[in-house]
Order: sequence, then C-alpha cells, then structure tokens
Amino acid sequence: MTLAETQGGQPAVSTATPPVLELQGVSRHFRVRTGGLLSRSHAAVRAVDNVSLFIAAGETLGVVGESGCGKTTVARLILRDIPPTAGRVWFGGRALDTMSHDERAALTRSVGAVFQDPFSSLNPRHRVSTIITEPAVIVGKLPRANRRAATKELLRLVGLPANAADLYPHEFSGGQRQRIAVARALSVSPSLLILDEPISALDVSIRAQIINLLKEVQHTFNLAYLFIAHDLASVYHMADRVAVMYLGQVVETGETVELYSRPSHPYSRALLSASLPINPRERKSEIILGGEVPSPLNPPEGCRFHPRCPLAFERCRVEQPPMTEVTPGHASACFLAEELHRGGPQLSQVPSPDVSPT
Amino acid sequence: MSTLRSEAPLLSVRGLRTHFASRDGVAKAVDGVSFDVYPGETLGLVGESGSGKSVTCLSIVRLVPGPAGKIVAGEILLDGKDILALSQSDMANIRGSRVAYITQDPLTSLDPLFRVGAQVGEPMLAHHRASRRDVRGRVVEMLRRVRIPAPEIRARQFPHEMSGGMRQRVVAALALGCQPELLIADEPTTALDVTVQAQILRLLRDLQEESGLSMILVTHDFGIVARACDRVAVMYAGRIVELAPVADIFERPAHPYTIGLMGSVPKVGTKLARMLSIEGQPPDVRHIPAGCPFAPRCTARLDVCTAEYPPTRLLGDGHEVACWAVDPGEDGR
Repeated sequence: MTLAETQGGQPAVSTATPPVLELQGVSRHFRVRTGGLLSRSHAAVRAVDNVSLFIAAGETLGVVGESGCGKTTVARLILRDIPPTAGRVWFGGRALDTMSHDERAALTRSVGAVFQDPFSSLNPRHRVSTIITEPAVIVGKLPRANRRAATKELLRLVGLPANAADLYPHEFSGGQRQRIAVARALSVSPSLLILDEPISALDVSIRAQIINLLKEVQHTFNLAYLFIAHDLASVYHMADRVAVMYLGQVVETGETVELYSRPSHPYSRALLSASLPINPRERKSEIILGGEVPSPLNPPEGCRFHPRCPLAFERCRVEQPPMTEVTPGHASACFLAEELHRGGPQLSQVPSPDVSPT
Repeated sequence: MSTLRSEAPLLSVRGLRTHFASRDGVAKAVDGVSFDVYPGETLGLVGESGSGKSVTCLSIVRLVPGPAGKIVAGEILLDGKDILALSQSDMANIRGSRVAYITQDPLTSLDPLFRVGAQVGEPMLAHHRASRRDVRGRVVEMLRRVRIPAPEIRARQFPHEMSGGMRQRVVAALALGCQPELLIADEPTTALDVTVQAQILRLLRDLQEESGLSMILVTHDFGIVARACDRVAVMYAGRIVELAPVADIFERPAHPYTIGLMGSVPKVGTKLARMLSIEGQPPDVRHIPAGCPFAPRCTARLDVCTAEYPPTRLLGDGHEVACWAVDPGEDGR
C-alpha cells in the first residue's frame, strides 16, 4: 500500500478492500484563553495538525510519541468524542461527514476502546456482567435476555473464570481489570479497537499477558487496532505499521520492522535510542536530545522539531519539510530523510542544541 | 567490573524486615533483605509494585509510615554505624545531608508556594552547609550543576513555571545541595517523557562521576537498569531473589523470576508470535505462601520450593541467587 498525497472526495488508499479507518489531513485545534481570567484574547492549541493515517482490516497501527504529541486527541477524533477542525475521517471507505447522524452513530459504535487506567475506566458500582455487556445492550446489539450467555462467552474469550461475572471491579488485579476492559470493548463486535496505552499502568510481568491476549482476539475476530503507546518495545511486537508523532504531527510512518531498523527522522532515532532496551555494555552510543517538547500553543516555525534537532540547518527554521517517501510505504517529514535512511550522520556523535524550555 | 572489593561498603543492609499491621494480618512488605552499596556505585532495585523496593528505601531513611509500619528486624549500617540505633534528632541530621532521597513525582516533592531557590537553599541552611549570606550563590551554583539554563532567573521562579524535566532537575539540585554520600532515587524518571528521562539519567551519572556519590536507583524498567546501574538487585514479595553486576543480569539471569521478567520485556529484532509471560500474579504480601513465594508461578518448581525458602547461593563474581533449582556448579545454568 502506498501513502499517496491526496485531496478531494476519494480515500487516499485505493485497494480492493477499503481500509477500516482513514484520516485525511485531519486537524483539531482547541481554543484557549490566553490573557487573564477576564481576557477576551484567545489562541488555538493545535493538538493535531494535518494528520493522515490509515488502518487496514486486521492490521495494527502503532502510534508513538511523547506527552502532548496528539496521540490521545487522534483517538478521541476517531471515537467521535470530538469533531475535527479540518480534514476527513473515513470509516470503511465512507466519509463520516457525509453520513446522516444515525449512520454515523451506527458506524462509530463498531469501534471499541481500551484505556490506560484499568482502575478509573471501570464503574466501581457495577458488576462485571453489567460492565462488559452494557455497551452492546445500549447500541441494540444484545437483547437483555441474552446477557448471561454473552457474559459467559466474553469472559471465556479474555481468559477470566465464569464466576467473575458477579464480582465488582475492586475484586480484581490490574491485569484482570484490563481483561474486563478488553471484554467490554469486544462486546459490540467491533471491527476496530482503539487501544490507548493499554499496558502502561500494568506491572512488567502482566504486560506480556495482555499483549498476548490482544494478539489472540485480534486473530480470532480479524480486528484492526490503533495501538497508542510510548513504550516502543511493545509497539514493535504489536504493530504492523507505526506512525511517530511529534507536537501534533506525524513525522514518520512505515512498516514496523523497516522503521525500527532504518529510522529516517532525527526525532524517531532519538526516541528509539532513549526507550529501547539496550545492552548495558553499550551505554555511550545513546542519543540525548536537549530541551523538552515545546508548547503546542506556540509551536516553532518551520519544522516543529528544529529547536531540539542536532542536524537542523537554516531551511528547517523557515520551511516545514513535507512527508517524503524513502522507500515504498516508509515516509519521513525531514529534509535529510534520504540521507538518514541510508544510515546518515551518527546522531550520538553530534551535540544536541542546548535549548532552554520555558 | 570486579566485585571483589577492597573498600568497605558505604551502606550495608542486613536482614531488614519491615512489616505493616493491617486488618487482614501482617503485611511483610520487606522480609529479610540484605545488600551493600559501595562508594561511587549505583545499585538498582528492580521489582514490580508491592515487591518491597520503596519500603526498603523508606526504611533506610527511617521514614516508614507509622504506626502501622515498623522495622522489626535487621541492621542498616552507614559507614559501619547502625543508623537504626540513632535517636530521631541524630537521624534528622543524616537525612538530607549524608543521605538524600528523591521520589517519583517532581511536582509533589516541591512546595508550590515557595520559589525554587528558597527550596533548594533550605537544606543547606538547615544542615549548616551555607550561611544566610552565601546561600543564594550556592543555590545558583547547584542549579547550574544540574544544567538548568539561566539559573539566576530560574531560582526566582515557582515550581508551576517549570516543565516536568526542569522540576526534576530542581529536585536533584535540592537533594545534592549538601553533598550527600548516598542518593536514594525512587523511580526518579517514571513521570517524565522518554527523551527527558534520558537527559535526567545522563545527568545523574555525570553528577555521580563528578562527586563519587553512591546511588540506589529504584525502578521497574530494565531499560533504565541497563542505562544507569552498576549492580542490580531483583526483588520479589519482600525479598531479594537475585543480585548481580548489571551485565550478568542481562547475559546470565539465573532466577526463574528474573528470566521471566527479562523475557516479558519485548526485544526489538526478533518479532515473536507470542511473548513470554509469567503466568499468575505476585502474591498478596499479607498472605505470602510458605517456601519460595515465587513457587506458585515458577516453571522450574521442585518439591522443596513450597516447603522451605531457598538459601542464597553464590554463582561467582558477586552474582547471588536465592533459588533451589539453580545449580551453582554450572555458573548459573
């Protein structure tokens, strides 16, 4: 599949079967008051800015980046929690904004979600049976009379004992609660699951269990996943393709193995260097970036990464680099993408600019 | 990195037991922990939540929350002197001056109502490391040492005016202001973004090289262990199950729990259909099973494991493991 630049009324990816989900140049700006309490001056936080993504049936797209990069806003846009300021979201080849309200509701109901915190995402006053079947009952996919049978089946799918049905969330450990959350997400027979940091809050030995569970149910139901995470090692195992985000924009996207072995954006390289497990004998080769992620209220001109980039030159300060394909399916928004893809300058040898964050 | 050391350890913890009284019985949060920290080294304490790593650290500074929590047995020797025998006021003199402590959340460890300069200067004044007259200069110097740009301006700011990474630098300046011999850092980078985490870990290492500081670094992340520690102690259910130089833990993990933990950290380069995982979950510290507490989840379990806690075996060159199934004759496996 290619990631062609497109405009107009067609989804960008044309294959026999349309992708489950596609975002085309989607932006979401939030208005915030800038002055004092009584001030009328407003500014726009560009939480997501011109993002294009797609997910094919049965495929996992990993979205990685640091806090404030727009990962969660992307998830909320897909769940229709908030509408986009600009751009289009396509579900199964149909644009959301051209549908009637009812059609749109029906479609977005076939999206399930699992969130980071298994403690706050389950209602403590409901029994597990209610929690996991409620979404299906509400959307009319499950008659109330069939609740018991559905509960039993869902619990079996996520590897919980049948007697879990009558218990309350506090009676479970974090890993078990995350299994309950997965069961709830599956109850609406979704074609797409949004997984927003589903393992970050769990203990290390439990994380692998949940990753394995997610892979099993994906295989069983041919589910598409949007897997949001900051832990790049788990993304490597879950995702077929990866999108790296920085300050509201996708800076690099490609097949996971290709992108991890030949990262072609300086930010992706630094992120991989800082978060992947390393050999303790090779500490010195790490890339240490200066500064921190700037505020999306006032993003830098030109390439948003340039103030922290060890390779930035004059052009980066004034012009935003376009997404450039370095190899089919692998694109990077950097003027030096080709050079980086070939192995490029060793970033650990180049000192990072000393930025003072405000 | 030889562990046959000629020098004496700076800190020596021997048979530490810290228990908490609860309605459902005694929670044995730390139950027989022994380790040494040598001058200038970083010891990693690794384990999952509830394994007792934070309580071990709180015990060392004698800040175990009472009256429920209590150190019931053991010795904590700082330079050969048992600090558990000290009076509260003698202990207060050690805390913040010879032993410093930094916690996970940089936001809650700073007071929002005071300028950061005043907070960094407070322990210096309290421990008579600076006079009122020269404290301002010392604060600016400390902020500069933790690589805070424009330290004169930053010293006059409030915590909310700073980013998370900057605040954690301020906390480091605060902790290191009295030139402690031992720094205990409890998950110091967990709340930070990964690129900022890399900066802070590098900073701590640089500061350590400059001053010969010893460090106990608590973490659940083997990536941090690989980046920052010299030796590592793996904790499970209130005990140390394996202790080894960092390269040994990565190349020759011996305890089945360590092996499982390392296996459940995804590795890049080999994409597996299924990740290795440890089935089950850690025991409730109020009801720790008899014998080895890991036995119910262990794939190498023998009959003796559920009956008796395994003795610590030495695998050579400072590599210790508490497991019945490990044969010490074969250097770990």
